[in-house]
Amino acid sequence: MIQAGITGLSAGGAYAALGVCVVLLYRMVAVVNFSLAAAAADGWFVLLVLHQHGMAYGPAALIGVATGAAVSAIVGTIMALWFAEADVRTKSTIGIAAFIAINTISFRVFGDNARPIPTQLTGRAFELGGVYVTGSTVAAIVGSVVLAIAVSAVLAKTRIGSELRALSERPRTAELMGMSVRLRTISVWAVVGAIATIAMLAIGPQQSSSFSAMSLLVVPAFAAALVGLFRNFYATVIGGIAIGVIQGMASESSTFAQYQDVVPFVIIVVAILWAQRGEVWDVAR
Amino acid sequence: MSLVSPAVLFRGRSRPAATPGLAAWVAGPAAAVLVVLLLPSLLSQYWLFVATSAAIFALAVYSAGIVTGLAGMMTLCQLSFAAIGAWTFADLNTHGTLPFLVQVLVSGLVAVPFGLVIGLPALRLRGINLAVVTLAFAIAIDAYLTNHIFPGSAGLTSVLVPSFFSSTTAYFDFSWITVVVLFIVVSLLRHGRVGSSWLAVRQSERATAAIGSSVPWAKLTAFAVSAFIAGIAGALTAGQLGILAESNFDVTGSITLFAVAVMVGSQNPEGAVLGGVLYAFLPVVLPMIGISDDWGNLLFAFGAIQALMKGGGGASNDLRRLFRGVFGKVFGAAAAQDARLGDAVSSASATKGVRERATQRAGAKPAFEIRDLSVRYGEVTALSDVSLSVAPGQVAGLIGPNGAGKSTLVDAASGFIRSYQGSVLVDGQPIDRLGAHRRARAGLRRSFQQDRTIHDLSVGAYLDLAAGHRVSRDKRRELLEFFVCPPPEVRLGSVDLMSRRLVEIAGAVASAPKVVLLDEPAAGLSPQESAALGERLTEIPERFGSSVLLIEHDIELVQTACQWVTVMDFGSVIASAEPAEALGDPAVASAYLGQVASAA
Repeated sequence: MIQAGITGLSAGGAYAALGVCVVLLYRMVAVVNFSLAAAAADGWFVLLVLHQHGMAYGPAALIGVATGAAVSAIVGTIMALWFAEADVRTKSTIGIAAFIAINTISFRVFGDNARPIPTQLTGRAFELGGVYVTGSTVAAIVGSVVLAIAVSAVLAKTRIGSELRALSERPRTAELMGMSVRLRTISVWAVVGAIATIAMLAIGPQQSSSFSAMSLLVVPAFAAALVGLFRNFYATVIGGIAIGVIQGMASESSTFAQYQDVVPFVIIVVAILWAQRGEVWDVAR
Repeated sequence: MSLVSPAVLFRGRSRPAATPGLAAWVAGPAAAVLVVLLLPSLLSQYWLFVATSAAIFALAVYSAGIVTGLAGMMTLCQLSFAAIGAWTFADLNTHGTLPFLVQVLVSGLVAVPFGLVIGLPALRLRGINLAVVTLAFAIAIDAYLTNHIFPGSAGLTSVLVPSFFSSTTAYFDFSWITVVVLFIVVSLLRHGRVGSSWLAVRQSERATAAIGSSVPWAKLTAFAVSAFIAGIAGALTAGQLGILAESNFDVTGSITLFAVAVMVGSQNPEGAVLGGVLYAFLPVVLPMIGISDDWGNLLFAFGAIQALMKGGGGASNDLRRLFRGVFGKVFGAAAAQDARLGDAVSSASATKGVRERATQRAGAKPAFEIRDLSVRYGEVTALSDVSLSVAPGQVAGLIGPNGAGKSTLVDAASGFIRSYQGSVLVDGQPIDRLGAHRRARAGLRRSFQQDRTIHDLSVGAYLDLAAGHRVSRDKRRELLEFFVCPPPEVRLGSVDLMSRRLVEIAGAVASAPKVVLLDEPAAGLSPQESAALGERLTEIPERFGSSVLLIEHDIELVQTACQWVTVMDFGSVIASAEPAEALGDPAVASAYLGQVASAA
């Protein structure tokens, strides 16, 4: 049971990182980005293809991350060019359309064949109090926590952080102060795409090789983001890790194993009902 | 006092668009039935099979359109509802003895509670969070279906369809007739009060509650109807395919269906049919011209993006506008003429000036009362121990500079701010425990500063929804003429702001509430328009039996319309008296002009 929970940690770390990406995009450009994991999955599949053709892991991973960033930036460009002023529902619908488009094209490009998984990633395991912890687990957890700290710090402490916050809260004002909204919006999308791809590299080896299954990893990321109420990066990390651990523990039981994918749904419903308990509908007046 | 002809109110109004009439009701279904009867003689069995799929997909796309297009909530789990319907049908079919049609019906009904369960989180949340919930639900259902085989499918026991329906042609007819019947039923709902409340929720939940329509009811009925139709689509799929697999209802299918719904504007029946035809035929037609079938999805994705870029609600709405552009001139001219007629009649009745008659009846319990109302946001006190009352038959005014707390008071009284101290009473009864729409039903109506009328409703349908019942023709005529509103068949979205504001007030008094709180109805109006509006406000108690609390900046309007004025500043009442006295109060002058009050 505990071992299974620990095993779930590495998936949890990846969910947490993806969740941080979801929150970051929501806070910066007011989009609930359904295409996040799809863009990142492109990065992962590029890595797999390059590795299969003999490229070393390092450069292949770099190109993969760049690919994820580029795909995400393309979606961001569509957003920035035509939907900068649109409401969150319209923008998120564009995200859904982007999800479909990326899935369709990627299925064409990468196909359905099983590919060898790079072994560098599984890492060395060590024993800690009777349970085995792998290097990738530690990397995923530490990585997601560091990511949350870094993103919070950049937004709160740096000049670029203030600019991004200005852009998200008052795009018009920011533009009148001489900031280029488009360029910064697209940059945010690219950075988020890169981070999400790195998270995907961590979780990829444990996942099925189907592209559409990987693109749907955005759902546990949403669940994590909801735990953080689409605002708080640290709560998002905790949410993501919790989902991973619960799923890992469920995988132990033959009864619950088949319902692993139900875990995010339950967490989403609970988080939403709790978060919105005091709301009386849309904006004042 | 100079009187301005209410014709001023109609100055510069755009040509209003009429809602579709009887022709559309007859022509649509008739054309559909004709096509259904003709096609079997034109198509081969193979194409009939695909066309049957188109009918089933049309239902699925329509089910998404009800929740997304009409009620404005995003749903990504329609195929999960269909899967539940299909599962139920397969189960009934392999085990039960129910007649075939009952099996289909029950399959739809079994999906309803699932729709309600998904609708429950929607009670508290809007669009985007709901999309997340529905997507997670779709994945959960998918997980179940991956691990459980559809009833009967393990032994490859095919679902049985009675011999009467078992030929491809008969099943084609059956499917399309089901489509036509369900479309007519939902269209009837759509043009009744339930459908109006769906459109209202899409436009503004606050406005929906403020006109006494229950937001939860609107959302849950939308989900229930949607799940029912998707469930029927699932049952029809089971009957058509015989043996079912998880892949028939997978998550990406639901997501694609949503994109199709956005692209075609599937809230309209013809949009849903277009969506169903595209969804069924593209994967078959594309390979014939050498393109892989899955590229169809790409078309749906870009179609949805294109529809959103253009705005205006998808391909079917574009078609409707085109249709109106060609055939609509007759409608438009008639509507404009009607409006002028309304002007003439009401200007005669409005000039009577009945302010003197609407006197305060001493001793009666107040129609509306606020006792020691306080609202705090953290450290900030927005309202502090505010008390005021409006007598039956009275038009009272509430004025104060910006930030005085007037609108906070309206929000608290009408149920949009829950955490207040003090008490709000209507007709002597406290309403503090009631939600916004129950307060509206208890006799407290309000208008909004910003336009929150429901643009997709006709003026008549808006009045029906706001009144809480179907308004009689005479009453409707009286209301519309008195408030110089556009004719009842005109769509609210096609008229100017002033007209919408008048319709909003007409809707507020249509239910004969005890009190109407009007939040700056004269904002943005010229002095003449505002004077003409004031004339009408003074007559509301006499004509419609409702007291009025007028929240205004326009001192002149308050002076002419009100018999009693309460003045607020910084969240407290600083004066409450007859207009001349209240406005002469040095504290009031100081509040408005920012001067230190001289000792009285």
